[in-house]
Amino acid sequence: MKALIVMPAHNEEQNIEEVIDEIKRDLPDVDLLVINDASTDKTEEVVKKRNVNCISLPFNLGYSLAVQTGIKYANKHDYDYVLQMDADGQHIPSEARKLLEYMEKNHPDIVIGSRFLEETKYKHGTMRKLGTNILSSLIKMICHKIIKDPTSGFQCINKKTISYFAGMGNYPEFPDANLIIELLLNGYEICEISTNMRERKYGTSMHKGIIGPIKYMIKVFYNIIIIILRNLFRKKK
Amino acid sequence: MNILFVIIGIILIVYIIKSVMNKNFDMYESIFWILATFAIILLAMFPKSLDEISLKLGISYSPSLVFLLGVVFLLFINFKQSRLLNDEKQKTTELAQELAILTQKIEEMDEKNDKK
Repeated sequence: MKALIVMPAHNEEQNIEEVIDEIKRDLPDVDLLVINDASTDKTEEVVKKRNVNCISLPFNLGYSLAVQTGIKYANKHDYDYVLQMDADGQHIPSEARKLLEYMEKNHPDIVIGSRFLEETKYKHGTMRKLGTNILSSLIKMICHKIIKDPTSGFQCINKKTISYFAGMGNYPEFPDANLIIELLLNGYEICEISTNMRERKYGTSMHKGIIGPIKYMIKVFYNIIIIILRNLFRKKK
Repeated sequence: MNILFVIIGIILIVYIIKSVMNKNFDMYESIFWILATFAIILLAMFPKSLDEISLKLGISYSPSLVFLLGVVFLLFINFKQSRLLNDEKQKTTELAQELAILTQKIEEMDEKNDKK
């Protein structure tokens, strides 16, 4: 088994050190790759000091395209699995082990680490919970599959998915329910297992404020409509 | 016939063609602008035709036809450029990602060489 942890980081010098140490301790057999998304702080320095592989993007591409860069790297270096983890310490390395083990045992295309499958300690804002519920029921409506936490960035993907995501334009700007629906409609097998997550220690989340999340939801919805139309058209052909 | 606008049209066409010759302007892209300029020249040469066309289209005030055509043309060009921009954005992203991966590879190789 050859697995790679892809960790996009944008100005995470405060969080990333601990996260790297924890991964080295709990997942010593898995390679780690940090994608430094044009950080303006010392993220790159911190990562390189720990002797961790680091790809630095020449300018800020945003979360999803940073992840895609890591997936491209994995595709080039022939990795079997990619584990997506955030650099802010939300995703726990020992929980990531669960995702990998599940992947090896059951061979789905994607395993999602879910916060809501069982009662976990993770605290969620009401608005975010509402958003997640809406997206989750959309997936159920369209694909007849229950994915409780489509927004989770804590995922493990296999080779087939890696080579698909590595293609130009195949990884959306907002990899959320839209991506899950697209993959489910195209016959990919997606599983969800319960994982614990922590609250971030320093800094703020990507989804903050009021206008940001609304824009986000609109884009995700729009993307879902396009995916459904694309699929209808393909079937007719 | 409005001589001034005919001259302006001709100057525009010469300018566009010169830009294409100097490779400052994409050949395919320039065709639309040349067509638009031709339309200006034709209208300047036969101003009465404008009234006739508007009458046939049911537009009572003929200058508004000019505005309509102008707006449609600009929207068309705008839409085309929007698509082009998206295309370029995707390519730039692809290049940035490739560049970052290759840079990392080179650094890795340099390190290996230094150790030897």
